[in-house]
Amino acid sequence: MAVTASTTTPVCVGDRLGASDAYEAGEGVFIRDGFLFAGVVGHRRIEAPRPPLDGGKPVLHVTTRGTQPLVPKPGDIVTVKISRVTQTTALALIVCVGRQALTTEFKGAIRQQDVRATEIDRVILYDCFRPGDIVRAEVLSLGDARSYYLSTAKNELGVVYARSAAAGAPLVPNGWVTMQCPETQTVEKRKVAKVVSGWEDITPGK
Amino acid sequence: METSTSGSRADGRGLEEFRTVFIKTRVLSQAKGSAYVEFGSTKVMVGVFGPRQSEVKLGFTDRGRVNCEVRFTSFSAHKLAKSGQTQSDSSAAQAMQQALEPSVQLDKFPKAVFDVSAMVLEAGGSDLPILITAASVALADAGVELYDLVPAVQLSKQAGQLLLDPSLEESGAEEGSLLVSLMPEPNEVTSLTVRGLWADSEMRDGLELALGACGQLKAAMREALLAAVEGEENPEK
Repeated sequence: MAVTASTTTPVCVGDRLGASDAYEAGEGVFIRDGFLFAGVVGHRRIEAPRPPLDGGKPVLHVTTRGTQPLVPKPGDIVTVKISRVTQTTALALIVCVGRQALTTEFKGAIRQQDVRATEIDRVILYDCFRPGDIVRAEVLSLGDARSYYLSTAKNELGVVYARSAAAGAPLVPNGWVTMQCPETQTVEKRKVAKVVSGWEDITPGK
Repeated sequence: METSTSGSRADGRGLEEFRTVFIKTRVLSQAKGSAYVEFGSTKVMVGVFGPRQSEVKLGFTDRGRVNCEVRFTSFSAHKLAKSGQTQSDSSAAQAMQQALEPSVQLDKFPKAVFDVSAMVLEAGGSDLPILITAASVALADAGVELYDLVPAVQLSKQAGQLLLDPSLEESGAEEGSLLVSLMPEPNEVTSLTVRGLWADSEMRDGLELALGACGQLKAAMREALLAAVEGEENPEK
C-alpha cells in the first residue's frame, strides 16, 4: 500500500477535509456538523469504495507515520502470555494486538466458559493453560476494571507456544488437547491452537 | 508573531504581541509524542506516554483518561527551589487536565490512560497556558485522536491596559489575569480562569483579544506539526 507524496496532502488535527455527503469517514477522521475533520496529524488519503458498496462514497483516511496508539477492542485477535491459572479463570497479559506489539501490557482473563465451544462446564483450566504459555485469543468484551475478557473458543485460538514442565523445551502440538516434549516424550495437556498459516486465517471481527 | 498596537512594554512589545515563539515536536525519542516550546524565556518540555491500562481503583470506564503531571525544575525560578512535588505543580497539572481532556477522543481508548508529563525548565511568565499549548502539540505528535488542538493564552490587566502573554515581571505587577484555552475549530473554550476584578467591558475586550490570540497560536502549532510530517517525507534534510 505505497503512498507517494504527490498523491496525498499533509493535514493537521482539526483541519476540515470535506463534506459528509461526499465522503465516508475512515481512519483518523471524525464527523461533526456534516463535515469531516482530521483527528490526527498525517497524510490525507482517499480510497475508492470497495466492491460491496460500489457507487457509494469514497472513504477519506488520514494516515500517520509509524503506529498509532493501540488499545484492545472487542473482536481483536490478541497474543497473550498466561500469568496465573486458577480454577475458574486464567489470567493473562495482553502483549500484542493483531500484528502490533503494545507498549505496555494490558490485563486479560480467560474464564472457564470461554475456553472452548463445547462442554464448557466440564473444563479444567489447568489442563488447558499453564503459566508462561503464549496463547492466541479473541477479545470478547472490555470486561471489568481489572481485565479484558478473552475467549479461545475457536479452532485457531489457544496455546501456540509452551515450554515443557520437565525439560523446559518447547512443546510440539500433538492434537487438539495434547502437546509433547521433544526431549522427554512426556505428553502434557493444553488447549491447542490449530494455526494454519501466519495471520491470514484470522478474520478479525468488526 | 505580531499584532497591531505600538510597543509600550518593557521588552518593546506591543500590548497584543506574543513573545518570540518556538515550537518543536519529536524531541524525546522514548516518548510516544513530545514537544518543546519556548515563549521568550519560558521553556517547557512535554512528553506523552501510553496508552496503558487504567488503575483498578478508578473502576471501569468506557472512556479513556489523560493523566497530567507537571514538574517545575529546581532551577526554573529565580531562586533555586526545593526538589519534590509542590502544590503549584499539582494545581498546574489539574488545570492542564481540565483544559486538554475535552480535545481528546476518549471513547477511542476505553480503560486506557495517556500520561502527559511536563517539565518547566524556565518559568519566565505565562507558564500554565504554555504548558497547555505544549501538551496539546505533544498529544497530536503522539498520534492520539483529537478533536482539535488547544492553544492557550494569558492576559494581564494593568492600569487599564490588557497585556497579552505577560512576562514574569509583568505578571508580578498585574491587577488581574485571564487565562483562556480554546479549541478553535469548534470554537469551544475548554478552560477559563479569571483573577481579580473585571468590569463587563474589560472582560469583553479581554476575551476578544484572547480568543483571537488563540487562533494565531494555533497556526504556529499547526506549522510545527506539519513541519515534522514533511520532515519525514524528505529525510535528507
